[in-house]
Amino acid sequence: MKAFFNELFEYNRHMNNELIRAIVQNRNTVSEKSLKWINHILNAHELYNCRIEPAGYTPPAPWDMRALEELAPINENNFQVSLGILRLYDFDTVIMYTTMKGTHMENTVGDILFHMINHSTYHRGQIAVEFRNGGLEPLVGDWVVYKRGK
Amino acid sequence: MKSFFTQLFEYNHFMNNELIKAIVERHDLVSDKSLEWVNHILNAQQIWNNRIAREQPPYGVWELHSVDELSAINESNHQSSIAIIRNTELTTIIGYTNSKGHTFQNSVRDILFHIINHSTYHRGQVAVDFRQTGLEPLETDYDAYLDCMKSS
Repeated sequence: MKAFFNELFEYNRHMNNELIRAIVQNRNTVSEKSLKWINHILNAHELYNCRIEPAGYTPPAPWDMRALEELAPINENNFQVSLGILRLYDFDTVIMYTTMKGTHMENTVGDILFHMINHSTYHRGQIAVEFRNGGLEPLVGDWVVYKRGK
Repeated sequence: MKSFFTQLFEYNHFMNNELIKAIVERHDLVSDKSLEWVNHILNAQQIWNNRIAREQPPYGVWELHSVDELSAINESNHQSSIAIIRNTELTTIIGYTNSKGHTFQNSVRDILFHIINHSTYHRGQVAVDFRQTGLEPLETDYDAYLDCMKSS
């Protein structure tokens, strides 16, 4: 199971990186919404990493915006922290946290890790629509297509 | 691993149903794009289930069904996927030909995860479309779903 999640986080890092590259290349035409969503994907990932493994700093708020140049290093750092979590934590460990909406939640590490992957995919789908609406070619992000190249 | 996939397919089944319910209720407002995407989510799951079962899929990937049929298709897809999880070794390699005539191979495990991931991707797109047409998008996060299941 842990090996599978390693693959999922590698996929997530790869797809985010492709997206960040496309956004940087098209920085003059990319929409505000696409920027908002790519930032949100990275912020949420960092936030959930911190919920499992508290960091020595205040994690970002879900809709914080960073400079374009910061996105790739943040994506890499998020990935490395998640790999560390995969190594250190039992999937059944229960984590308690409060969402931004104030809801108290208790979920296992395994469920939170899947949520992180799923949440990124959801918003990458939304960015694809924005790309198409703005005349940019959306990326192909299908898991089966990604795995065929491995 | 199998119980993990069962849980993911239950989530997918539940979220598709919520979406279908919202679409049926607000049929007057729902855009063509949202209809296309929800049909595409269901058709793709059908096609992949059938590839694993080595049967000919009855639907094209962008085929449109009547709104009243969607819930039954979602249910039937779900039952087929659950049967696959129960009866198939996840490492089995499946060969298939896509709509352009190219042949590929993926493991059952990767196809199952693709179904889940692909559905989530397009549900994200339906959410954007809902907001644009003045409909409230659904809360489809996996952690919120688990929380909702615990309290129900």
